[in-house]
Amino acid sequence: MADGTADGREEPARTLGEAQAGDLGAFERLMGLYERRVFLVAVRLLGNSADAQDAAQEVFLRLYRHLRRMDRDPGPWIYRVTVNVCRDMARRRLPSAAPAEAAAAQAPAEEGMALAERLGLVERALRTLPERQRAALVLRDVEGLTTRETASVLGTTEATVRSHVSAARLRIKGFVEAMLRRRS
Amino acid sequence: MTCIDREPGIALYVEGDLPAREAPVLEAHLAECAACREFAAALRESQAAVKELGNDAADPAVLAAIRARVMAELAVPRARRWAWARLWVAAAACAAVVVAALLFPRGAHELPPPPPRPVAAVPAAPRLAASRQAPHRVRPAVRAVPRRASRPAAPLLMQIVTDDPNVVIYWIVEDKERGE
Repeated sequence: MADGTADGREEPARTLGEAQAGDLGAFERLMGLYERRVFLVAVRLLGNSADAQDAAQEVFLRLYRHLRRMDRDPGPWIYRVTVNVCRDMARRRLPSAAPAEAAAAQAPAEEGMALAERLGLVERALRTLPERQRAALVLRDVEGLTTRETASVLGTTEATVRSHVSAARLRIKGFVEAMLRRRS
Repeated sequence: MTCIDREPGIALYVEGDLPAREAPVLEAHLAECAACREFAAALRESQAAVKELGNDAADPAVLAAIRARVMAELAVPRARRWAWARLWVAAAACAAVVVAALLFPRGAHELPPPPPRPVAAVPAAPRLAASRQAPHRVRPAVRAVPRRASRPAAPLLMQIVTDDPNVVIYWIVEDKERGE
């Protein structure tokens, strides 16, 4: 869905048209085209699977309510709503969670940094990022959107996206190196 | 400008995000600064791991669960709409019964009396006395219903039972409304 395209091979526009005509089965297929990306983006932004499932459910319910007003590939719209839903959920749970501190407190336990461990480290580093930096980095670097598309999804300028992405990349590099230093 | 000042630019440069007008200046610095080249290499390494996250697979069972939850949510309003539709049909039917009861009060629906039946010709009885001969009377087929006593009638209570056991509609028609 990097440029708004869906996960699967099915043509989103045709499926969208059938769903708009009231075909609930087509809407389910439409969900299938985007569910992986929506869920994974939500996991990156919220930091856990349970919240990400709730967020994904909300995104698709909003998609259903918005369906008739959709006139093209819903990919960019879905990204935007996913980010907004995750932002709202993160704000609601803010008082009881401190993911940045929790992530930083966990150091890799064993010698040797396999790929899976490195990915786990990067995931933890993601959780240390401020909300806007994390959203920009996930869309630009993990999802592979262009800077312009990222700016459009986040409702901001390309210069702001560059600023957030740059800061996020530096912060992740610093986090990973700090964890490696602590291990050694 | 120090090397630390150049780090944000390097973070953009490694992914091709540095604006074209700024790239030549940074490239010139990287060509002569080993520390910044090393910094850029480390950034590329961490960025490779970041981008690798995009290849993650989601658990199909989790995705199916999300889809099932959404479809269940969408099914509930439909079921509610049908329940309300059935409720309205039942209410409309009951209303029709009440209106019919008001427009056609009890007794009004009975058939009018039939025309007088022809009386077969019978031989005239011997005339006894002119004064005792009474004209032939035709009895009406329907007798008038005697009006009930002026005792007040109990209100008509209608109970409409719906599919939802928690929803029962009561319709009370007072005596005046029934036109009695």
